[in-house]
Amino acid sequence: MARRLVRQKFGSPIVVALLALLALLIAFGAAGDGARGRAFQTASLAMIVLGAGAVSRDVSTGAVQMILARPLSRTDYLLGRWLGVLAAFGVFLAVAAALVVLFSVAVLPAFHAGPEPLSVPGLLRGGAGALLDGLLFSASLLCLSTFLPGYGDLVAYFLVVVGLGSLGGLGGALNRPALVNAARVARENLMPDPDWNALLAGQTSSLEPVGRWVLAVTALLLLAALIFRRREFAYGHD
Amino acid sequence: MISVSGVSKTFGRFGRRTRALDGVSLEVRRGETLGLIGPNGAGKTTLLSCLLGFLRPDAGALSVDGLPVDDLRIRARTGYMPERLGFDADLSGARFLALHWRLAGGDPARTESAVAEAADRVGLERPALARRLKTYSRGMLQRIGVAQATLRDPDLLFLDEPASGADPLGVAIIRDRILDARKRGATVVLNSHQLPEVERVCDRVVFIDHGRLTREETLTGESASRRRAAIRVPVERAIAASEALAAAGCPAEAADGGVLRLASADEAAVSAAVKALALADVPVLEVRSSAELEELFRPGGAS
Repeated sequence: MARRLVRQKFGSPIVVALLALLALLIAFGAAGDGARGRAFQTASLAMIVLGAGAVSRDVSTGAVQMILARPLSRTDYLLGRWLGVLAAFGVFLAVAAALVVLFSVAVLPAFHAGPEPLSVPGLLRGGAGALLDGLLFSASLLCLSTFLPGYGDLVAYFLVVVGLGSLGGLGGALNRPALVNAARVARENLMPDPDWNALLAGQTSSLEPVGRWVLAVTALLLLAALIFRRREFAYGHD
Repeated sequence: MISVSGVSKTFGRFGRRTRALDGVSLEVRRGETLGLIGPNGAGKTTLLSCLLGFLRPDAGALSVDGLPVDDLRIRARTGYMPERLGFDADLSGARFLALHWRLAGGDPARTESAVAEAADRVGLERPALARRLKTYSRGMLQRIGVAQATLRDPDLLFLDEPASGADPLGVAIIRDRILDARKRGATVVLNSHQLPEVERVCDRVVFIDHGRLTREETLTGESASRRRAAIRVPVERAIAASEALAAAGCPAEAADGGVLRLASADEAAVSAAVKALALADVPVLEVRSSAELEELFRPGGAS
């Protein structure tokens, strides 16, 4: 299943073009800051094209029925799709990292652009942080994709992000601290955002955000499995 | 054995509820080929979906050899072809078959030969296998659908309109694959509107209407309940032929075009009828035997 998803994603010229563009943007940005990881923060955007519709696409084409008629459990199918998304994201990050190196040591010096010296540990931390951010993002999309049609998972995700942001803003405008707190707690627990760069560099030892991140990923995957195991697949009532 | 007991399934919510299945009970014996027939929207595909575990019935129970229908041991023995083939747009025919070979638990080292054999069985040539499925005609999709369903010779085969959209050669090839499965003892459940094909391959048919199993007909063996024989004679001799048959003790019902439907389809009755016509000097243009399943679709059904 994982291999199939990687092939599906990289088989689309549009997806490849979008990823190539994003990888180039990362390479430019990271080469400029010595690959200390800030540019890799945008790498999660790749998950939009790699993680969206991971399950719903198979449901809409009817492929899921044919696959689930085989001796493959629904949990294994779901896990395969998620690992496929992560593998595709890993490939993207590896290509982006290779481009960062290329830009830092060959392309930018040739144009006398004066890049920051390349920091290999910074590059690795940036890539690892992006992978961990992508892991949570992909788990969120996977969970939503188990019951929403088409690219509804992506739409719902951004509605949640905008909704929580608006709730906090609304609470502030109405001078309602409870509302502001509720939005903050929801965001911290649903979308925890540990500073991976600082954590991996040993600049902070607070593991609380990491704990929330682990809980969120686990809860999302369990919820996805639960929903998908109960889901029915029909294509007409004939 | 496949067992379906009192299965009901309703779709929709609140005021827009559709009862797709209403207390359906049936059993399919091991090695039997069962045809599901009925008008559009009768609940046939819903029943297949329940049998495959894609839908959960609201009431009733389904099992295969005493196990739940979604048990992986049952899935390992199952081949399934949906009415509309689900596939990835960028997939070639060969890759599609290879994917299903591996999903079915086939030996990865044998993938290439298994794909080639499966394609040969449905008459798909190598250049077609290399093409993307999205360029396939409906008939080619049906053929490759049957090829994937019969990978690893499953002993449970669920086919939903397998010959729909296929050309005459395709229909014949698909029929042969179903007969192959039957010969090796597989249990086949076939949902099809192509009644002549159902008649040719099925041991038994069940007629489903408005979610209910309304009739059951055996087509093969001594208990064949619907098989009818018909003799065609020149139109101008139809009356003389009817009289000759009545006199010989072979009652027949006259139909349009000089066709006389015999009351019995057993060999002795048909032989006696032909002999009676020969003695009456009535030329016999055609003798055919069929289950006349079409009659089940007429209002009120056939008795």
